[in-house]
Amino acid sequence: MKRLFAVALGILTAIGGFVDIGDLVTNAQVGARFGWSIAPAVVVGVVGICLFAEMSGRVAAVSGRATFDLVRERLGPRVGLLNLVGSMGVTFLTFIAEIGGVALSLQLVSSVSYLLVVPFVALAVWLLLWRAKFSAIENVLGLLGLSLIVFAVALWQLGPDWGALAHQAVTADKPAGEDWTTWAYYAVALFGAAMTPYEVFFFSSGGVEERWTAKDLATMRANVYIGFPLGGLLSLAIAGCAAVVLQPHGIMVDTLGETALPVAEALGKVGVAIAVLGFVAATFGAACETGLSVGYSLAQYVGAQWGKYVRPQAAVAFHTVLVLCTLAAAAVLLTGIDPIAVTEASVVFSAVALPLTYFPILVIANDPDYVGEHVNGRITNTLGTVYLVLIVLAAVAAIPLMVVTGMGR
Amino acid sequence: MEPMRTMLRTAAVSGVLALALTGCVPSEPSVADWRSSTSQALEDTASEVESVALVLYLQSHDRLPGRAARVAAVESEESLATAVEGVTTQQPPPGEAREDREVGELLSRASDLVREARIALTAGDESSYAELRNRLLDLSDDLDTAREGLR
Repeated sequence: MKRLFAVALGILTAIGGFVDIGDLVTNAQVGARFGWSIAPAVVVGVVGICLFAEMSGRVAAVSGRATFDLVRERLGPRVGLLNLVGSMGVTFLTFIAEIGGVALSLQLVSSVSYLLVVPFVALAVWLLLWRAKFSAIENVLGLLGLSLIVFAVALWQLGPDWGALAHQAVTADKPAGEDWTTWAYYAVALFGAAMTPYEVFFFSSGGVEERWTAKDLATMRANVYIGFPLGGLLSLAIAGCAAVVLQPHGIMVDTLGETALPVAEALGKVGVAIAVLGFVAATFGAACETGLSVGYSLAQYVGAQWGKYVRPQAAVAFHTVLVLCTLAAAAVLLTGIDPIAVTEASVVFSAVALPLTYFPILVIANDPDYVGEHVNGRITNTLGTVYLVLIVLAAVAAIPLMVVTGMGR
Repeated sequence: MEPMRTMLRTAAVSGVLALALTGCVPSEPSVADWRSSTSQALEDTASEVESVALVLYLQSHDRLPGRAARVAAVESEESLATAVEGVTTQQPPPGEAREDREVGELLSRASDLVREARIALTAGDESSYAELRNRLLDLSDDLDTAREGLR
């Protein structure tokens, strides 16, 4: 159990990146429309986030400082500000969506309108961010989020034609009725979701909260290489379930309720109960992750005290940001805006913000002043450069694809 | 200078009036645009109809909790209303009046049937699930046929 808790940070971070409220619906939507033909985008995303999360975790462990803290110092206030505005805007949008996501998940078990639940969810998230220990948040929510493994069990139980799914994944064989532009839109969205900026900010700040040192590099790498691939696996399992159950009916998923239907078919009521528990834990975890990330980024940029390892009285600015963000998120949701549409848009904008996040990390991970002998090796740098090219391509293509396809219609 | 100012004022007022008047008239899309958006609405509607049919199937086999089934049905009904509104507020292009009327009737049937299914699910009227599901599946076939006809 102790070993499982040791990788809870990686699991919680990955669940936020791969199966938050937008991803839950988008993965099912993609599976129902394209089967596993978009799986390569998830795989490329998993490798990319492992690469850069390892860099930011290594920087945090060796220097004892989180990514944002160093970006401003190493690249100056202008680049730092650009990075802050781009990534924090996307993270805040996601935070709004996640609070709505928790409410939508609870709606499935209570049948009470999610709008009535939103204020209570916002209060619960804030209380947790204010009072709970960081380790409690990551252990409880990260491990409860593992309930989503029920989708992998459901896929197994449904007995799909594994050969056909593998063929779709390997050859990117999309259905004839879908066009490549829409395929590319969803591929960029899934890649953007896998590499969403707050993951590295949260992961590196979490490393500082856990007081990692150079001795903890093995633990940090275990978090990266177990957590993120697990997130990718859950993402593929959700898409696979939708491909098997919903695609033959021509059901195009746009709600959380539809995402759970394949689990009901495979495993019945117990399966649905476990899936809904996973929805609540994953969205609650992602809400905490994104809320903390906004506070971390802003406090680190202005050089204020931050984190849950210090008393709230010592990190007033950090906790004030958390309160204001939570209030603002609840207010936005109470206008009746669709949380799933917010997060789908945030995933696309996240793709645009990617270069602002990952270029500075690559620079810092090569600077011996910060990481000493633990600078990037040649292979890591080559892969990092290839990924920067991919990231720039995704960033350039994201908005035009969103406009041309009408958000994947 | 004064006539110039008067002319500009008249032009500005005329412009605002023209914009206000044209803004009140439903836009008239081209035949291709109308067919494309109507086809999309039919596809979205068929998706929601199939979704409710699946919910009824799962509920009748005791595989889905009642509350989750009701929420799924309500969400489908809301999504369907959005799809229907997108088409019914459009002005059909000349020569497409018959198709427009047929599509309108189909969408209206879909709204009524999904509403009926949601009422049955909320009331827990299990005896009607199989018959409602069959009607939904027939309707889904009709929606697909209508969509093919628009291509």
